[in-house]
Amino acid sequence: MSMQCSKLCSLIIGETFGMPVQSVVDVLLQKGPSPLRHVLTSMMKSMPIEAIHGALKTLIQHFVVNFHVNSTTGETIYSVNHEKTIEIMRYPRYYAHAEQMVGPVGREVLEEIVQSGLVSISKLIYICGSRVMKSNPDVTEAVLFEQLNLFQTTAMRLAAKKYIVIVPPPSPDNENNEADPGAHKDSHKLPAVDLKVLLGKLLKTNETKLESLPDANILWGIYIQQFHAELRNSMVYQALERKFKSMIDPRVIQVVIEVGLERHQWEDEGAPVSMHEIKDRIEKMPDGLATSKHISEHLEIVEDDPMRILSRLSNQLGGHFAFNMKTAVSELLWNIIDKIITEKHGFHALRIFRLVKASGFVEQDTINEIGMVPGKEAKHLTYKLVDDHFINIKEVKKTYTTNAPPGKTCTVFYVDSSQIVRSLQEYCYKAAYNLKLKSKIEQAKIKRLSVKEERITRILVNMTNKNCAEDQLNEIRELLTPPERGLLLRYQFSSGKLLSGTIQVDETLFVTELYLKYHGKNFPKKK
Amino acid sequence: MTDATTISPKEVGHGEVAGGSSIAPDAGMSPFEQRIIQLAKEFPKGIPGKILQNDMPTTVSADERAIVINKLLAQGILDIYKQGNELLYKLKGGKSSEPDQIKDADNEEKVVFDIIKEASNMGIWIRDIRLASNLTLSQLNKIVKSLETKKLIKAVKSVAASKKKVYMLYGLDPHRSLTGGAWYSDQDFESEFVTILNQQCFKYLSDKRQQAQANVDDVGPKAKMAIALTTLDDLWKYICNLGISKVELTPEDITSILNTLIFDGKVEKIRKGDLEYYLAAEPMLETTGLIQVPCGVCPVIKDCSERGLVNPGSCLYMNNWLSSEF
Repeated sequence: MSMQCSKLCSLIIGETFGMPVQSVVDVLLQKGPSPLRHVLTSMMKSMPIEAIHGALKTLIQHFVVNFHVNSTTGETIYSVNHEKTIEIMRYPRYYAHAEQMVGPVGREVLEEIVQSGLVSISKLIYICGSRVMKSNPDVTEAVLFEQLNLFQTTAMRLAAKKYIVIVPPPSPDNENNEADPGAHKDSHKLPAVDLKVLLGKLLKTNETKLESLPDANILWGIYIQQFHAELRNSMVYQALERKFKSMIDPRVIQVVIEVGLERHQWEDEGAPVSMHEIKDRIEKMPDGLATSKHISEHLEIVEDDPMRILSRLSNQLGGHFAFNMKTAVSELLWNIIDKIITEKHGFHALRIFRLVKASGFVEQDTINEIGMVPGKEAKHLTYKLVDDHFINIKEVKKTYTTNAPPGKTCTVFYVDSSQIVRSLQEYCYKAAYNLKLKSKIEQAKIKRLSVKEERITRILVNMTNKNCAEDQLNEIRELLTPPERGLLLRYQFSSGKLLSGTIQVDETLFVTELYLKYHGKNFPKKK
Repeated sequence: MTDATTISPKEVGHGEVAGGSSIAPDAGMSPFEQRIIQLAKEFPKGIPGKILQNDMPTTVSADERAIVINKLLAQGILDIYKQGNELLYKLKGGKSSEPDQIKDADNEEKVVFDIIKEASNMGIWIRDIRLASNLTLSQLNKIVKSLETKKLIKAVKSVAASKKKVYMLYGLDPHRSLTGGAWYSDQDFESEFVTILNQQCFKYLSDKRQQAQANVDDVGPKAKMAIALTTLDDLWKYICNLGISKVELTPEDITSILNTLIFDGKVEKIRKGDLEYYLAAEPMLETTGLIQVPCGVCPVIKDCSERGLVNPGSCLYMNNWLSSEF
């Protein structure tokens, strides 16, 4: 893993789990996979051993740190899971998606699961209930029971939509950790929870022991793959909707994606879907009749598209169509790269890049001629693209002799997709790191003022509870001067913008990850 | 044949035939001369030296034969070529095709003129003329200059190599590969002209797509697509009718423009059987996440680090971005 990725991981851990945990991760990032004694030796002077153990426990529980037993020495080796760490940056998108699909309570429940890492359903409902009690100490027993019931139903809905899954506790067995937890048929089946028992425990405020509950050992976690599949589908669908704008009904593509990839979400190509099935589903949608009348034409247009994302597998029953998700993801990525090149170097650079990509290996003269870009500009842009790793350069001998003189070689340009993707990922890591670092710097600048504002707010709440006069309240409010208020407002705006910027960068990063997963290794395939 | 050998014979190209001759044996010519012309007519690809020697009466000496041949060469009736190690004598083309100035020119000029003439509108490089004519460079330069002054030949610069001059007959139009076709004017690439054509082609295709998209009648997507799709022929006619080009554009020129649009990602080519159509493409994305933050398009991101001169804390781009829209 690159240095940039490690730096970003460290910052994410610090932001999520705090500075002590970050320092433990920093040791693992610097030393690579190490046994506990190495971590202890490095950290002993700055942190008590118990705190180091605690930090490692938290990290393991959130799958950010993996561990395995070294077969020769018998020592347990700890290592940072970069992928899982980077995924933390994506959580706001998961929450937003869950809120969209299940509602605000769904988001709340999911946030609790993520914060706990692994949690049993009973404990989850208990935590959510205690939060209700904390925010409203006067809540009645009936209302609390209703709330617990709501949390349970929401958890059931989350499980039904496969957003949460039963996860085996982390073990030193690597294979077990990498296995798809959602592959088992009962992995999304919620256990029975006795809400009355939970209510009783909640009302007895000192009762926090939940180990005795029957489902205490069935631990649940967030099922990232489901979110990834749905986010991928949504991105691809939105892109295609834009591409076929007003020419066809995009819901036709949506149906082919949803039905074709329903069972095996990560197949390169979805299962064939018959035209009749597509038609039936479209007819049930609002204003679907008009589309279903010309369904074959809609499909034909997508089929004829040069992207070749839809293929007709047979002509029986009006035809069977399969959606190629691998091609769609690739197209999405190339479009992203196109946008970046246009923004950075202009449309002539994009033309050169696409020309090189389409031609395979191409000389500078051919680029000038086919690209119809003035010679000097074309040369300048080509070298800028080489400098940014968008295209590669290679010297080819014109003769077969072993020591060809310089005059007998020619320079050709070509596109190496995997190198572009890796380089794009590095850009994303650096951009996200810079945004997070900037946010940290801004936060440090305003720290004293934030503490002051917090204190004033607390005093104001206390005074309001004591029914103090408005004049007195105003006097306290005025302790924060208008320029200070202005600074705080500016900070709030900046931090919001930096956070949304990080999410936007992650969108690009997500597509590069998808591309590498489709074109590379270890991705969950059908069992 | 001392005189004949002073003029370097040209290499005979494959499949080369003598041009239609209008030369008839003159009454004032000697019987030897008349016989040579007759033989040259019988052998349009050239009379080999041996045939000429065998055909002549034994009384005619080699010197006499050389004098007669040199006379015919000087009159411009015969031309001499070299095929392998053998000399070939061939009748020259009709007198009418030769400009008047070349008739009075000396032998070297004629040879150089013929070499340039053979190169036709592709032109020939001075080095190749030198190799073909066996003349020294200073001699050749003088001849070329003289021919240029007489407006018999002209020098043309190639767009592929601006410093390389090629020579061709004065009245010929240079080949497209030399001039660069419609996109070049005096060796300069007409970037603005290409951009205008590019814009016009895209506008036409884009208008057609919008027209199709605006069609709200319940005609079905295929009929909509039929409105949006355009053939090369339609586009070519449209561009020609616009009258924006001084030069006559060919469908191939429009294909080149369309290819640039395809590489720009603005147009896509759709194949239906053997037919090809062009369609204005809608981008899949309006923008992408990375370029919405300053680091995504930062020109100095490679120099950016935590402690360096360029760092996120004091970054001007980042500060401007954060203070915008506040």
